[in-house]
Amino acid sequence: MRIFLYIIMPIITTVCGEFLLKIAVGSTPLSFGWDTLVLLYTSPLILAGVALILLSATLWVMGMSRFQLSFMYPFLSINYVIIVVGSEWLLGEDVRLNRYIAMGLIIVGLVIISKSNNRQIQETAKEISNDTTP
Amino acid sequence: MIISLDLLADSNFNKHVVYILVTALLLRILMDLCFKLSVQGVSFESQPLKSAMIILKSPALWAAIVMATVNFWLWAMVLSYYDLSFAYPLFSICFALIMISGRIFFNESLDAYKLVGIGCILASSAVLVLG
Repeated sequence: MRIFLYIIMPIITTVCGEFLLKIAVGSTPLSFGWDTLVLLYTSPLILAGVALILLSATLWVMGMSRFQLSFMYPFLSINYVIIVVGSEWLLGEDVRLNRYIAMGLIIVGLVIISKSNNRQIQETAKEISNDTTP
Repeated sequence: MIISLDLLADSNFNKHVVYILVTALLLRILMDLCFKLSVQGVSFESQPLKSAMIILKSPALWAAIVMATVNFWLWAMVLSYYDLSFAYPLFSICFALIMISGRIFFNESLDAYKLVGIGCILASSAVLVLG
């Protein structure tokens, strides 16, 4: 249940938020001016996307105090899979092989980085147990 | 690098978009460093309320919030030009650059695992831009 609220929910809300944002701004290239700012802060689709991403960030930060980062990091891979596959299926983007390779590299990278935290935590735990056992 | 980004951009390409993309990336990293700076030396466990007050008074926090707002604007512009399946994975480069910045500015540890992970992420960005 906690995993659903603090890890799966942030993933779902981020992905939905990014898709909404892309759908909202994707049809017309934005210019660098006031009209863009007005559009950003008045379009319901964009505001809904931002709200979802903010909700996601809040839940994720709350999750950080409940789970170890090394446990949470690999879950971030799911974001990249859904975004890349979803961009092809839902948005009809031309997703070439290199984007799938990049997605794979990011997943491998995230998993390896999470191992680092594991090791640090284990080392700290070992140090603590060494300190307490004479 | 800019030439390669040119090739990947949509047909209605505007050269300024590359600069916007790079600015958005750099600002995102700067924003995270400011967030980190604002909570430096603060421990939530012992004095949660006092800690919150210290953080709220920190200029770094407000700088980070301003950067977050500007960055949202830049990100929306990036998304309006680039594919989501290109821009979203590309921004994973922030992971790598933030870890490197953490080492430089906050003396955080970078062990072999992190270095290999950073390598994978940098390689993924290269594959996206050059591929």
